[in-house]
Amino acid sequence: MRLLIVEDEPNIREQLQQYLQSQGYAVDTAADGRAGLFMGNEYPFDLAIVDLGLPEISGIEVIQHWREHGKSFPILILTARGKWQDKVAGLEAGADDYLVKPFHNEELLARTRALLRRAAGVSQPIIQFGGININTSQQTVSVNNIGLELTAYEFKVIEYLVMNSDKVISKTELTEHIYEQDFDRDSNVIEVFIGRLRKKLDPEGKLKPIETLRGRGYRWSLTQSNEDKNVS
Amino acid sequence: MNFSIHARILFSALITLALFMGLTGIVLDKAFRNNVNSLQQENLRTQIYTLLATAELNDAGKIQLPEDIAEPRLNLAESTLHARIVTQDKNVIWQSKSMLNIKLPFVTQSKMGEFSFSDIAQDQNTFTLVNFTTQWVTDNNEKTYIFQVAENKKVLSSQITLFRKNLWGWLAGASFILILTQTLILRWGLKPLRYVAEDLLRIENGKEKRLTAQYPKEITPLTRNLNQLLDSSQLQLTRYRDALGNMAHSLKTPIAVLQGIIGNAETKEKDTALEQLNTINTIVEYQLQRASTAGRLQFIQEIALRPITEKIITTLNKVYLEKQVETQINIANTFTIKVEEGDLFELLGNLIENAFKWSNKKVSISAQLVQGQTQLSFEDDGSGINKKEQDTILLRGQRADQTTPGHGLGLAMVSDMLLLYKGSMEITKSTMGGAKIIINI
Repeated sequence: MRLLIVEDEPNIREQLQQYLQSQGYAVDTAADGRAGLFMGNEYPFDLAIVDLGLPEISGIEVIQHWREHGKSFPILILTARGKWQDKVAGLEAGADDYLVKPFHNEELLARTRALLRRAAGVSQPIIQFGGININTSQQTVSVNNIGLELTAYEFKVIEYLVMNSDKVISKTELTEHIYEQDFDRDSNVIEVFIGRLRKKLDPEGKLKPIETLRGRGYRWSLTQSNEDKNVS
Repeated sequence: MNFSIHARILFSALITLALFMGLTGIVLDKAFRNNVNSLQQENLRTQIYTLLATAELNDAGKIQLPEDIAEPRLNLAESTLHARIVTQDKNVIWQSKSMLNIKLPFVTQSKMGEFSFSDIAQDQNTFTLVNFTTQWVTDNNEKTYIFQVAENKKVLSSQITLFRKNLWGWLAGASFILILTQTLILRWGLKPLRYVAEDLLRIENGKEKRLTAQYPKEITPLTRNLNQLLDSSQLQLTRYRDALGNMAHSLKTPIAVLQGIIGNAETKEKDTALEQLNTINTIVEYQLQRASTAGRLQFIQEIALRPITEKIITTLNKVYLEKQVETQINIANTFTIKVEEGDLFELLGNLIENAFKWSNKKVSISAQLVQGQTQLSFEDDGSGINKKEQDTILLRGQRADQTTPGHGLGLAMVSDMLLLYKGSMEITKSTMGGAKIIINI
């Protein structure tokens, strides 16, 4: 999952970037409204975290612009004042949730995950597909209750496929959503990741969780087995 | 003494009018009396001349007048005009028929050939008496006669009384019309001032933002200055809020940075440091909230309650999407409340979010007027707030700087804001099962 942070305070920006990267997200940052607006328009993000008090173009304007131009990724706004008028204005402009500064990183992470799940139409942090259990909070995957050893990138691939299980995902899209902007990409790596994941998830080749559609990409083929139970 | 302009002008006009009318009355009365008196004297003189012309000396050298005099009033017993001729030694030579019941005093000192007037009183009557002394020369001697004519004054006084009645009647009538006209002019003239007062009241009640009507040029400088004052106070308020916003931003950003750094650090003082940071943050938040509410209770506009409630619910529905909260709003579309817009957002935002947070599925918001006061209630179907928690929440408003953030800080801010609006908050149990927070404002 690839996130965009638009925050003018360099310390907070770097902290957030490092923290979210450590939690398994590809994170790009912008230091002002103009740069944020451009990046949101140009790159495929899965979620944006936008500070409302931005120089150049305000956070509200950035969000409005994105929404007017059909950008549908979830947006979490950060506000220093915590005024209800600001919160309402932000959500009316098109944001999905707000967080008042200062916040705990854990709180931000929980909100981010909830928004990502909501966008994917998944309501629970643990997603089950028969014997396969994917815990998006702890970033763990288990098959028949036995935990799998996955690298960070392997988890990113499986998370993105699962969160977009109704779509065919091309190699380019997958690359764009698991790597940050400046990352040195190699699309062959994706094939390697997919191969390894298939072996780990389905060593006997019965379930076939990841489908390959020739010339188009990959698709998560299993149906969620715990959907809409115990809605929190 | 603080009299109204209306009373001042009317009072001074009344005094002036009374003085003017009184003086006019006195002068006219005096002039009329003088006039009537001189006419009477003239008349009496004429009577003397007529008597002189009528009197003749008979052969015996005595003065003689005919039985009936040309002046008919002298011939009637009940008349008001009387005449006689006497000698210096008080012998009555002749008297008119009208002298029957009247006794006139004898006058001895009278200059020859001159009229002398005097007022005499007799038997409750007052007379104007004129004496004329003359000498009649006969062949062998000369005799001095005194001609006396008297007229009862009641003729004059009845004339004067009638005149006075008329005079004061007309003056009173004129005064009444003048006062009426003056009052009408005053009302019309002071109308713009009354309009200004009414418009100011509308501003005070929050129904208008500035003086918008067209006023006469005499008071436009006043209304223009008032408008400037209103605008500048509005501008000052905006600047003040912007400044507070900037201050919040610049204070909270370093706190956020510190919190991030400490949160990532692995030291044994981490928890203490985070706790202290939280306290700082709560104080900053609380004081900023107080500062933004304080001192802005002048000229608050009345504001429709329902649209803001709906906006906040839309916002919260987005945030609490998974919860699928069913909300019920019992607020009439026309319901207004006299709370500053920013404060109303805080009030509703905190209370409705609280209800959303603690509800299972349902939230209900109602507004009604109870004995002229607005009563808002926020209910949910959650597990409610127990007595101990209620006390803590209500106390926090007074001691927010000693508390840690979390549940109830929003409510504490509301309770604090209510102090400024002289409102009150009550926490009870809702029929829906959860908490019911009632705000009277």
